[in-house]
Amino acid sequence: MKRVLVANRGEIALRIIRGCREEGIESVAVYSDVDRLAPHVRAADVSAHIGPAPSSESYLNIERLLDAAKRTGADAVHPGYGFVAERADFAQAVARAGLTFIGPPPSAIAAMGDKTAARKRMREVGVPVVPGTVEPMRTVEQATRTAHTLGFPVLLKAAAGGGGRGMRVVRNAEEMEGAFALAQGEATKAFGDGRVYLERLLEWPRHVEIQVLADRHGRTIHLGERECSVQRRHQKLIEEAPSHAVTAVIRRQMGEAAVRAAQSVGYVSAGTCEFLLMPNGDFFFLEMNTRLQVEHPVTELVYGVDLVRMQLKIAMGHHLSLPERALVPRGWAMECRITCEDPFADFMPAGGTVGYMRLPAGPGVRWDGWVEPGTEVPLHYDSLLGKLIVWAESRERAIKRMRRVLDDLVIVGVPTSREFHQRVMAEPAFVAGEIDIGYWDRVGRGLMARPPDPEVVEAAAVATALLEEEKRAIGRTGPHAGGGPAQAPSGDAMTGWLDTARREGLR
Amino acid sequence: MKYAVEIAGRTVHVEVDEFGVRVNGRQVEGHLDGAGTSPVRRIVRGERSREFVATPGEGKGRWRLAMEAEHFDVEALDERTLAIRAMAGQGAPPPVAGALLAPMPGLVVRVLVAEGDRVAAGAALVVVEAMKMENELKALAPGMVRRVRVEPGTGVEKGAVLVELDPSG
Repeated sequence: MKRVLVANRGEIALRIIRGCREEGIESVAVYSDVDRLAPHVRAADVSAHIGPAPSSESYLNIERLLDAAKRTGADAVHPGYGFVAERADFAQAVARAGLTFIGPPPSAIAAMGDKTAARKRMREVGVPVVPGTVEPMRTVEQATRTAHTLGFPVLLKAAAGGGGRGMRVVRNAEEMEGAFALAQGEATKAFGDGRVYLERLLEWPRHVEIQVLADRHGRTIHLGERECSVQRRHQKLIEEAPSHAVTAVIRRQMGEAAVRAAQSVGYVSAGTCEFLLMPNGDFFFLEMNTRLQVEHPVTELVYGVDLVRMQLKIAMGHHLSLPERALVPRGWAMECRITCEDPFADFMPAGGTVGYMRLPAGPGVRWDGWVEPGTEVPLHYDSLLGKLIVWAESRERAIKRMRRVLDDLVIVGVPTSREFHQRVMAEPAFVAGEIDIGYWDRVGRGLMARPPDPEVVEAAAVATALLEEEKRAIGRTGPHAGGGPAQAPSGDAMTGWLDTARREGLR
Repeated sequence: MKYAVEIAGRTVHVEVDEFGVRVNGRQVEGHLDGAGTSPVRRIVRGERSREFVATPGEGKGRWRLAMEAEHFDVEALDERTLAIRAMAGQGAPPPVAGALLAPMPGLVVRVLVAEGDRVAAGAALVVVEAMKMENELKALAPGMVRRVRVEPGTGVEKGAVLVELDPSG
């Protein structure tokens, strides 16, 4: 393996290109029209244009990606995450073209891609899935009986369903009759199919996932858990490793389950099994992501393992050489996703041009990002600007460090999620580790609505007056003071930058 | 200078002069650190120093400030601008289509267009001095200058027609 085509963009393309460089492997960047000047293109040894901005005509276009690989003489392809990363047909096409796919075999991607079939398979190999019925319930009596064995509360779900329709929470036997009729009615109306089945209702579980690594020689290991409970609309915002709720025993049990899951589909490379973890330590398989995850750095930091390097080595046919005994998490790592979204406007995504930037440095911090001053953030792709990651000896210290580096991070020109993270890092429940997937609804949303501290408002008011006063002083001593026609105040067009530039130029 | 600072739904009165800074009449110690090429500044008040990021907003006196997990769209109006606004706002005649009206009493300093000129929306037409401040008056819509009714030195009352415009298209 000499030259790897990175079929992606943004921070993950950079991450993979850096990994290749460290291994002495050349990298090929691909780019759409709007990414011509993107940092990942400059970072790679070779680059190839693959089409216009819409991803369907560029980063998702298998033919063009393969054509780029051929044109540039790449002998392997790394898909990153998103785009074509979990498309079995892409992995298949890469193999057919005689190239190495840095990821799992197409059959494993396909097996885990069919979510219902995957859950059935998990049940067969003894990986716990959310308890429920496979067969539809015929009568209220049957449903009530089954609910008693599952344990209340239960969820009535439309067999044909999705999107919450035909779904009803049943808290006790008395509620069953009414709920059954309602769920059936809704399901019939929405899907033309009134069949409903039962699932145990998991209330406020944590989202905990297990990192898996498998080589081509039958060895599969796990690298512990990541907790990703702070989410908004299924979008992860903050991840950490290890999890506050995972004991050594739970870690071993979940780890073994994840390894079984991976082995059952013949998994190779890095992958992640997502679970719901209950307060009593019960956990249930959700799905397996057959790729590198966005949040992989937190695992890297606490396990001292470079996951991209592992992927490259595995793809080259190397044996996993990590000694199982040494695989315990050390310290605490935490990641905040810095997205181009306005947390003060319900996380509205925004484009724009990045102006000034100041990236945190110093002990225990890592920035996996892709934007630079002058970068135009396109609206065609996801809103992730970068990931701010810290490591420290303990969770408490990791939070303190995260507060520090969030304060140090400055990105001007586009709104970012920074302020949300700053507030979470000071929020008592999060600090105490009391998080679950209901955190956003219960706490997160309200954090942004909180009225500002009057002390800060006053400081900002004084600062603004002083800024205006400063501008006035510059105006008085500036080039147009005295002589010549007086200039109209140019506040509209004149920026602080121009002011400063002018002042500097006249020194 | 006295400023009325509109911030977070309230007005904070800040007075800055050689004697220091007063907030709503209360003397405070305060100055800015870090002037240079960076929008990252510090406001020092007493022993407390706070970092903030300031970017100019759209319009005179407008700033966007990020400070301690807060962000503010702030407008700092000095007393003269405030007075002019108050005057222009009170009982101002409704805008007449195709005419530029004086928003306040004042003295015409410059006329920036001639009859027959085509102007874009937002183009400056006349400069009127009031309260020792020059105010650029702009076209609300694109059009052609039909008639200029004032010249430099003309004193005008509030609502006087300065320029007549034929709206285009």
